Amino acid sequence: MKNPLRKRFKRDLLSNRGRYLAIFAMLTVTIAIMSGFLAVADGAQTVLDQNRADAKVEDGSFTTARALSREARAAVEKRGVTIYQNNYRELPLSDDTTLRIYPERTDFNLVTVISGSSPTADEIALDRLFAASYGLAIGDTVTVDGVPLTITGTISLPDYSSLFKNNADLMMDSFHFGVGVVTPAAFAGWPATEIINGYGYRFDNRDLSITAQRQLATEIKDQLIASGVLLTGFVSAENNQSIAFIDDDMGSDVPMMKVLLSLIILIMAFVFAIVISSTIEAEAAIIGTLLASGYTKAELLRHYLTMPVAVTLASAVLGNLIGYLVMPDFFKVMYDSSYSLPPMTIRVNREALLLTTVVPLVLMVVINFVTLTRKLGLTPLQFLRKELHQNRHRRAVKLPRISFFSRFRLRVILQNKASYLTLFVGIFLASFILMFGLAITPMISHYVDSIKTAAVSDYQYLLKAPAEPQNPGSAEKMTVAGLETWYPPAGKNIEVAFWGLREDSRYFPELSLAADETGVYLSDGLAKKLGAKAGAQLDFVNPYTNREDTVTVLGIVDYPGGLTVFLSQAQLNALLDREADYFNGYFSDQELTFVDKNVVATVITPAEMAKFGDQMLSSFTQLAPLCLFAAVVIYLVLMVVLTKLVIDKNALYISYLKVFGYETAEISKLYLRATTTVVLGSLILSLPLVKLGIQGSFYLVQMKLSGYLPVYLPLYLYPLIVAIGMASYLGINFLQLRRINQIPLAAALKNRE
Amino acid sequence: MEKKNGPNNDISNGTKNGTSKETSNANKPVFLEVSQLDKSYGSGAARVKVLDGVTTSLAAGQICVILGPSGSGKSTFLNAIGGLESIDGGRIIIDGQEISRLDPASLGRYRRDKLGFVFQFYNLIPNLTVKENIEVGQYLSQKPLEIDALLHTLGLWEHRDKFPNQLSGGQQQRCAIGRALIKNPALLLCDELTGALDYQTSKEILALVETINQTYHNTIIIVTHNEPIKQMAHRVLKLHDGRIVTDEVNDHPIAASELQW
Repeated sequence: MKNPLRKRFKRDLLSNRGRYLAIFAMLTVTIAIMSGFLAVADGAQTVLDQNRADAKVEDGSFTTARALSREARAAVEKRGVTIYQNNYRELPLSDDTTLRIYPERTDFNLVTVISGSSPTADEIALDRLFAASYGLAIGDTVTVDGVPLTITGTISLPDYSSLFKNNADLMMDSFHFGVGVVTPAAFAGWPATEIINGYGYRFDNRDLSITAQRQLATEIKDQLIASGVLLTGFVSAENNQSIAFIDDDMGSDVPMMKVLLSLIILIMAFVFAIVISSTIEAEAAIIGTLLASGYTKAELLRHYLTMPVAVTLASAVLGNLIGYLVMPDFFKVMYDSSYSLPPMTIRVNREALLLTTVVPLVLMVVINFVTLTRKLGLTPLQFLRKELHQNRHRRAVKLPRISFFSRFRLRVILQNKASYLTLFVGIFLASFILMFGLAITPMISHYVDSIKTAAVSDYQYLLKAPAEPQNPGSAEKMTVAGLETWYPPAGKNIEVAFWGLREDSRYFPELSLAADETGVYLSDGLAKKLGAKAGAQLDFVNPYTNREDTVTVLGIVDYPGGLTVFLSQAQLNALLDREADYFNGYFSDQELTFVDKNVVATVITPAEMAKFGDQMLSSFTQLAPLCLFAAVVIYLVLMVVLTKLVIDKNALYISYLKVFGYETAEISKLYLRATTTVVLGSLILSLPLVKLGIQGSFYLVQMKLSGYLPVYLPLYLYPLIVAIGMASYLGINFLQLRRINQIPLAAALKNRE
Repeated sequence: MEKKNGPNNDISNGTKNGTSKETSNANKPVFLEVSQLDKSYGSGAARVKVLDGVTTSLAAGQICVILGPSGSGKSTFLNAIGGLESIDGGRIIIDGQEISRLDPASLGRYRRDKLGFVFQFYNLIPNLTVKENIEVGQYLSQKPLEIDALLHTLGLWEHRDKFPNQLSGGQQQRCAIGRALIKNPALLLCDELTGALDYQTSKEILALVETINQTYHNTIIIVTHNEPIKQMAHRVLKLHDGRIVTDEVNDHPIAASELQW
């Protein structure tokens, strides 16, 4: 005979459908998001790895001032690498958009055509993401030197999975930077003055360990320098953001998502444990009778454990179905709007399956098993007598002399402290998710605005070689160099811009930088990122000469434009082994013209500095509504389940109060206002924790960014989060008020002990 | 202990009531044997002895009523026999098995195999029907009674598909008795089984107990405050301050329907 107690499940499900539906929905949504996200992340990682292998992605690249000599090439290749020509040209498509064009490469960094076809003469193929962001389509034209090139296809390149124009950029930027390929013949026809000497290399041994790869990359650079090659850029694939950023991004997004979603499942397991505890308290006499009749505790434990396991299992099945059939389209858009990858295939992922089925089940079983074991640890007689607390002689908490209603509410809160504590944790988590989603856009906008307002000059010119402008005006000479320093949290070197300033710089009047000054000032972002203060000593290495120097920090400068070190021009020139009067840039409030316009390497304007914001805003567009949805669902589910539990637990006493003559409004003052106080209190009290949590999360985010994105949480977000939380609660409050109204006067008193 | 009509040397039958009719239980074997049962609650100065050297026995198939004021130890005595209450000293032997030394798991098996419990409050499972509530007991037994026949006996056949909240108090208590009885337990323990019922319903329930005893020959122990109920019992024990003060045999119990109070 099957245990007749199982017949309760269906009826329990029906009579408590609101509660179970809410928990089921929460678990299903969580599991669907987790399985969908992990499936897409796995699909992206698989296609990325496959593409890197198939398309023979470079192991590193470098640019040189002059073409590489045969001897230098041979000397490097002797070390076990093959060097490939990788010249390119940068074409301004508009004032703030650059297209980097390569000849189609045949031995490495191979093209994957996503739509259309590879280019032939007078044709060009563009990166898919850039074409979409910039609004170009197959059939459109791009004009190079007056010659229109027809776009013949959209592609992805393995060395540009993330579109970073410069490796030191804070963020990839598919709106203002793209890549394309033309035929080698078309490329060869362009003027040599427009071409940048680029090279890529691949290790001959494809099975080198990471350590060996790093070692060999260092040897290659050392050999190039030793061979007299004037490097203008050198980056290994591991340190090339265009190649490796996606790994860093997924490397932090995936675990963060796993932790966040596992936390939600954990909270739901606790919610179930509270529901079960409450059920056991309500059914104490029945349990006592069953135990007295000969039922074993194991049988009852299995009985009470069945529902959480069944609900979790059903959620896991439905969640995974939604996760694999519906969610991938949503998450693919997130990847497709940020990265340029070949099309991915979604397959069942073993780890995702484990995380979305076994882990929720284990969490649910363990937490509820422990709760049940504790709860069922009493004797049958204790259940029959409803002596459910181990310590029967515990004293009531002494309350201050406040009004009867306030004391009553405090007693309700104390009676339901486990429910309210879980509610607090859930509200904190939901508020954290909500704050993250709502803050990211204003945070980026604020950063962009601060960059624009803090820009020291309208133009910054970086030159390939010293040159005088035809219209010097207010232009001020400077020296700029990119040096590297060790960044322990990420376990790698980061690039820092060194700005050598004149002693009486009109663009930095607050900095007193005497020519013989031997210290440096750090931008506040760099100081925060490195945790450096005035007086600290920092080590830097020149990646193109391997020269190492230690500098002393004199102070911190409020400059949001990037990770920058400010020092006297004379000191920087000395660090770079340059003449005292060397310079390679200008600050200027007006546009400068040069006799040879090719001498200008880059022109940076405040708009140029801030344009990465467009990409970031685009990448995070879907985050805010997703977070809002997730947070409101968590608010609603927890509030529905836990506040209903409080009312259910007190139904008898509410009925008594009705008999005594209390009106519904007064009863709701006692019971509902206690819950309202807890909800409002939790929403408000969790805010400082939310702020701490966001700051902690951004500490992790900073690790993968080349710059420093300050945490900015506008004040209006705090009341907004409380308002959203309370708006969610209002509906629940109405339902509970209705529930109080429905508690009958007599029926609850009928057949009571 | 007050002994009526001579010494209590025949412990299986107690002493004969002076007005009793001929007993039908005289030759039945001893089913329950309790000797020198001690039980105290609390410690130090607050220590209270609730059972103090209780010694008695009961023949198989008898109805035994235990009377006594509140705090006399009658429920503790019942719970000790049911293996729900540990004892400080003495022995309890049920159907040849000493249960006073059993570990909790063995006590569970003992209750599963031999006992049926009925309480003052019915403790029915609200989302199971009458029949399903009785099946909860049936599940525990290797040789349960036939459930449909039992439902007829209990007078619940018409109500078998109703939920407990659709029943009167008496019907709910019938259902609780059915849940205990379906296992066909050798010993049925009833703690204030009419305590929550009105006069007429109480009599109906007691008549049901009588019918069950006559039909299934279970040994039945009823703990009650209600003295007149003793008239339907074969055996009556009165407890006071943890001691048996009266132990009577009733050879001619009257029908439950004739009880009055």
